[in-house]
Amino acid sequence: MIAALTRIQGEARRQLLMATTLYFGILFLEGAVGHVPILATNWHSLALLPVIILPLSLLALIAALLKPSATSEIALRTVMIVAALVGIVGFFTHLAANGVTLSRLGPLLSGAVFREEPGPTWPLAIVLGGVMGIGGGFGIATDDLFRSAVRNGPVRWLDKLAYLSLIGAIALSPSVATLGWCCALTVIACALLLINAVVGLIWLALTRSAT
Amino acid sequence: MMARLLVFLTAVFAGALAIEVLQYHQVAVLQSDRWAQAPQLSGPLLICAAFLVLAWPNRSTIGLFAISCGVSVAVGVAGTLFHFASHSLAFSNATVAATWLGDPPPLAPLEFAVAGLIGLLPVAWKRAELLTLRAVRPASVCYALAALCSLVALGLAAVAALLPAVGSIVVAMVVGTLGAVTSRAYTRLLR
Repeated sequence: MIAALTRIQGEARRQLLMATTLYFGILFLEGAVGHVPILATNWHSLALLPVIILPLSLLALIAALLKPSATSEIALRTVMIVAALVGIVGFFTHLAANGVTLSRLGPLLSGAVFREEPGPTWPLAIVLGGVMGIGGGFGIATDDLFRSAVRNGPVRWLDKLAYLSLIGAIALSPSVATLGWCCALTVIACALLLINAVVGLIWLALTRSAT
Repeated sequence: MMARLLVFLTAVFAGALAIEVLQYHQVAVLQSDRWAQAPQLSGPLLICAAFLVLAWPNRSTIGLFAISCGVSVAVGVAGTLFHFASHSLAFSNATVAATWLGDPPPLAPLEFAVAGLIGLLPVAWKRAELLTLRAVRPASVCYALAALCSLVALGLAAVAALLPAVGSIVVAMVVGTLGAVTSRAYTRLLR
């Protein structure tokens, strides 16, 4: 029973990190891939930040889920902290793009600025993802239950296929010419991660009630 | 403790998504599409259910929370399909970037599914812990007030008073966070 419980705890952490990966997959398509065509026509150095940090976040999460170790934990924590900071910077950058400055705070109070493009609250989603990644990845290097879950979790081939799709999408993302394939691979990866998360939850509930 | 943290995280996640969707759908689609109201209702519902669990953890509130999470997952998946459909998706266009980018953002609704999945995690994993761990009274009061505010937001969103609904959600998030902070502070004081 204890063995089953420990596996459940490890599996719960794996599920949380996989949900975070799914979330970052969505953000990758919206925030990183979405910025590439904008950058191609209208260069802005700050717009490059999510294009860099979101693929790095995905790679750090994949590394933590495939090979939990001290190195992958430090990498995950560092990248997630940077991602959260990028999200905060993005919030203020989007506000500034909509005409809010320190000397002109009026639009902020009217609320109208939040309904304009680019949406100022969108980058805050990266902050939320960063918080989830930091929380989920805390202590994975010393968590034997998590390592056991990584080795013995349900339908492992499905999440590995999803990670492969994500890595392929990241490799294709820098060029505008291959952006379509990048998007298609990201969508496939997100679909696989969603199926995996649902299967994992059902497995978790069934194993929990069995113990 | 971990289970309650995940429920709180779900409330925060759903709050951020609800604010986003209430503002975005207001300018983008609501006048022309009644289905666009679904995420505007499922978001506040999930926040309300999450704060109810934190205030009064019992079988009924946990059941309501689980149902709200399921609704959120369903709304997320259905929303993704709706957004895809509005991009005139054809198999031959699957590798064209314009199919996947632009408005409405095809994968954005899936964030509701992620919020629902995170909420379902403590229900599937630590249901017993959710039932036994009770917050201290000041924290429970804050959580109950936050649940009430999100219920008001749900009502306002239902009658399309979207800006007041956003205001109610913001108040719910602030009061709910105050509850979480109070809970932690009390636990430390009692130690």
